[in-house]
Amino acid sequence: MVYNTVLGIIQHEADAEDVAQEVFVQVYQSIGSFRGDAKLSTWLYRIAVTKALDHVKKRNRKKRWGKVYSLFGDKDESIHNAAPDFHHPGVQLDNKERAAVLFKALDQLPDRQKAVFVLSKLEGLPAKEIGEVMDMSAATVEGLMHRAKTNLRKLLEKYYSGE
Amino acid sequence: MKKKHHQEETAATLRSLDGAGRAGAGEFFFTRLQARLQQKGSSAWERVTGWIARPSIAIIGLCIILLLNSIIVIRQFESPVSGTDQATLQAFADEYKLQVPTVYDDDKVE
Repeated sequence: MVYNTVLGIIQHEADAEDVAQEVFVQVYQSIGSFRGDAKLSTWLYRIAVTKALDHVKKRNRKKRWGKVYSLFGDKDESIHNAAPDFHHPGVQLDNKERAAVLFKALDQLPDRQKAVFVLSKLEGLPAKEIGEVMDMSAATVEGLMHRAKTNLRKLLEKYYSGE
Repeated sequence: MKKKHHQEETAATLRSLDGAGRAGAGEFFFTRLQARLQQKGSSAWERVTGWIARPSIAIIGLCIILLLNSIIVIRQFESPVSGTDQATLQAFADEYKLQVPTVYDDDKVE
């Protein structure tokens, strides 16, 4: 559940494992502060989503700096592009290629839309629970999901028309 | 015709995650996690520095230091400038026999 969520957002298996470990380390260190007013799974999802989005932000920052460095002739080998061909291990074989295209489009969405889409599609959470995880109302979650789908549709149509 | 085909492709791609299974972490995930937790647990210094580096703790600490400094400076200014206390100086001079002997001292009857 933690790894699957993180992997959906990060789209890189090794990085997702590292971030999933960080999630468990944080859970271990701050279990005392867990008040119990939310479900443990909600708390876990919240930490996982926050850590994964932080990682994506850091990666994008590195990528931007990488571009700046490349202007001066420096090449940073450690910076890898997020999932140019990411294949989610849980996707059925006949959908692998389409899912890879979808993940590529998903990576271009704003953070909150991406998180809502992943929690809904990969984890199968209802809007109410996603709202608890992301500290927002179910209506807001539905709005974000709608916008995510609209944006994905636009990106995919652009992709297929340019193919 | 072409547009319809693109729309169908798009719709099929959007459905491609339906029924996807959960991805599981690698084989040695929990072994590595355990090792990481043990490593974290042993480094007390890391925890202490982490605690000190918390913004709230760092700001409170800085405020306390500034407050103590201000108190000391204010006290310095408030304390009266003590003039030369003649009585103390005389007592000190008597104690250590610091008077300059004069010719009249020889005439003094012991």
